[in-house]
Amino acid sequence: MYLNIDNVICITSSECYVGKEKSGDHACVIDESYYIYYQGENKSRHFDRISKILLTGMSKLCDKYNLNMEKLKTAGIYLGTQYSSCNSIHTFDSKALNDSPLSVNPIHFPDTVINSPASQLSIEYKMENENFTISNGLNASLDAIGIAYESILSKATEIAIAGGVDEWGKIQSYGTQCKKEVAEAVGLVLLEEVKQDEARQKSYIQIISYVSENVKKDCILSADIISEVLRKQIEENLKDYEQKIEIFVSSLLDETDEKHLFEEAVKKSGFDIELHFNNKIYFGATGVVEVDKIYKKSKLDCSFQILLNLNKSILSCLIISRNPPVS
Amino acid sequence: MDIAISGMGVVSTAGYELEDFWNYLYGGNISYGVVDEFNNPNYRVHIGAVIKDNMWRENLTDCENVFEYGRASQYAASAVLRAFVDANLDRMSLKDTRIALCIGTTMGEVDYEENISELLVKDDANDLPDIKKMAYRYSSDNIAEGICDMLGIRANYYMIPAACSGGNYAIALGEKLLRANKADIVIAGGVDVFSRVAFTGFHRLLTLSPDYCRPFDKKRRGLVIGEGCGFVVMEEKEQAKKRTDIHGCLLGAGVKSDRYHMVSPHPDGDGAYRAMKEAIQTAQIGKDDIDYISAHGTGTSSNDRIEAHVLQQLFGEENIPPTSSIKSMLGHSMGAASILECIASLLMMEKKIMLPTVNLIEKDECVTFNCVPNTPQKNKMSYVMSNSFAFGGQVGSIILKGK
Repeated sequence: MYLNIDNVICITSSECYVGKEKSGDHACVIDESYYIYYQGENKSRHFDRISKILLTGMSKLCDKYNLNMEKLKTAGIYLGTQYSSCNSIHTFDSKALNDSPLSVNPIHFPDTVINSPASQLSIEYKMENENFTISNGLNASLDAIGIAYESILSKATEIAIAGGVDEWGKIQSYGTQCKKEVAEAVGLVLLEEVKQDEARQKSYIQIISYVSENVKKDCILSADIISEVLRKQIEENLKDYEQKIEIFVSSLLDETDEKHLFEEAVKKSGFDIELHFNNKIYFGATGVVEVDKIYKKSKLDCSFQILLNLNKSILSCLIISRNPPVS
Repeated sequence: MDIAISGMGVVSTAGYELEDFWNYLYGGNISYGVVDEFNNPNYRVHIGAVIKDNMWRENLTDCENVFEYGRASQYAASAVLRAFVDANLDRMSLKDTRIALCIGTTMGEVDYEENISELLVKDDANDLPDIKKMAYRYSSDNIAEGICDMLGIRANYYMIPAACSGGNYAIALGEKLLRANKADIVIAGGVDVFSRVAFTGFHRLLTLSPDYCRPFDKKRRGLVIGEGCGFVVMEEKEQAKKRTDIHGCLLGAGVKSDRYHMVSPHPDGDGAYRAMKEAIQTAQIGKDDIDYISAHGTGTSSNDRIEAHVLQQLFGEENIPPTSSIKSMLGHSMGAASILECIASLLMMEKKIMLPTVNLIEKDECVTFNCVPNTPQKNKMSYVMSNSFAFGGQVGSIILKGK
């Protein structure tokens, strides 16, 4: 799996910001002060709001960890987002309808493609490698981290910037059926291959495994299939360890249904694992927000964390560990 | 692992059956014309490529919940089902098969956003339930979820919006998943519906042709917006051959960023050069092995000039393989463009015929290669390169081998 068995793939830096101010209708939004001063290298370039939020997040990641900007140019980008540039599309289209198609500013048109925020990131930071936007609903950023991990494993890239961003808006407010609290968020992590010793010394978060599966059977979410996914992942990746495992679940399900489904799945798996349920949703950025929370904890009670994101029929599963014991 | 393309399916302005798709393009037919919605004084250009009938939906008659999903999802489900049939796959007996969908797009279910915008302008409270329903189905993951729901398949999925490179990016991700043993079968492709947002945007950028798409022509005036969908079935070659006749193999893929500008390509075509070079390297073939190139060839002044420049840099002025652009016939189907070009390339390899660049009157001086002007040409077609260069600078290049 690794070029060098002494190396592991780790999250070595993490930056995240979530919305805290409640907007009129339901969601917590990121305050303007976070991103308003972002101008970029070429001050005449136009950025829409979601791109500014993302670029501010990246700027803070780079500054906080003093990232090597030359090395960053070779990084792959893996950005998860559920709605991406939806607000820009809607603003552009509404302007054309309400005024006239001749009145829309052509400078705003590039904002309307779903890969626009990730593209802005590559342009601003001169990142020349592969650039994936992953639009998998709630699972988007967890899947982005997973694909980044697989890309480093396969040597498609040496380092990766992965994470997610999503903003609130009119279409989102009409379309969100989730009763949980929702918020805007941006989160980015740097993934790279490091030596085991260094990972341990610096308490980096090691990625143990990633998988994503469709868990519907006969059109219904199946606790049986979820338990099979869990059992297989634990047996394949954690069977030599007798350390504590915790599961962190995020989904759009009703809290009662979510609890019932995953408690049943864990019970069927045969493992004794503590479950934590995330009661706040950050759309496509949910996964990276969870990763960042774990990254920022100075001390963890357990050795392995299993992050589960469930979006419609797809369960994404990322296993991470801050200090996996030596087997 | 040798990766075979064992099935293909299209929903396009050139038809929905592979044989019809081929015959239409082989005949040099143009699938675009006046689009009534834009035939008004607000638009200087009125030309686009739109799928005008609903016959493509006939293969979804027995499927569940079709009208719960948007047009992009329906196009995708229809094309995936066609690809299954072509690959001799019975979707009802795939229970133990690990299937992954990799889907490229530019704007996803944008027609839902456009409908919502129209209803919000109307400002009628009675429309609220429809607005909520469309807004719920707007996010791009609904396309993949819709395919699973409509076709009754259990598949994992990745929506990969990469604008005009969507199809090539989906193929590149599909290759990753197969080689990492994350899937037994990957269905990779791209979809986009004809979009008012895209038409208006390109119109305001002054990049739309008022009449024809003329890639590589001295007097080319821009692109023609279109729509469509295509999917290929990718799997391990020996596994595929036990069940069906394959179309060809994917040898390599290069996906890179231009990292220059949201709209304009890098003036030296830097990203495109690196993507093509990587595709050739990963395919483990020589440049001289390539028999034909399916160009991005949008018909805009800058794209075609830079694309020609990059081909010269990579192959040398005298050694550029014949290169044509089927966008001259299909228009630019956005997120579906590169997958339709991949499918056309595989058909070209089977028939040993290069499809033409039509509407070519006088080749631009910067074009030093055979751009297969106006009529198809026979050729040895063992290895083909297919390129795509997208908004935001995402560039993709794939190398295909004939069967």
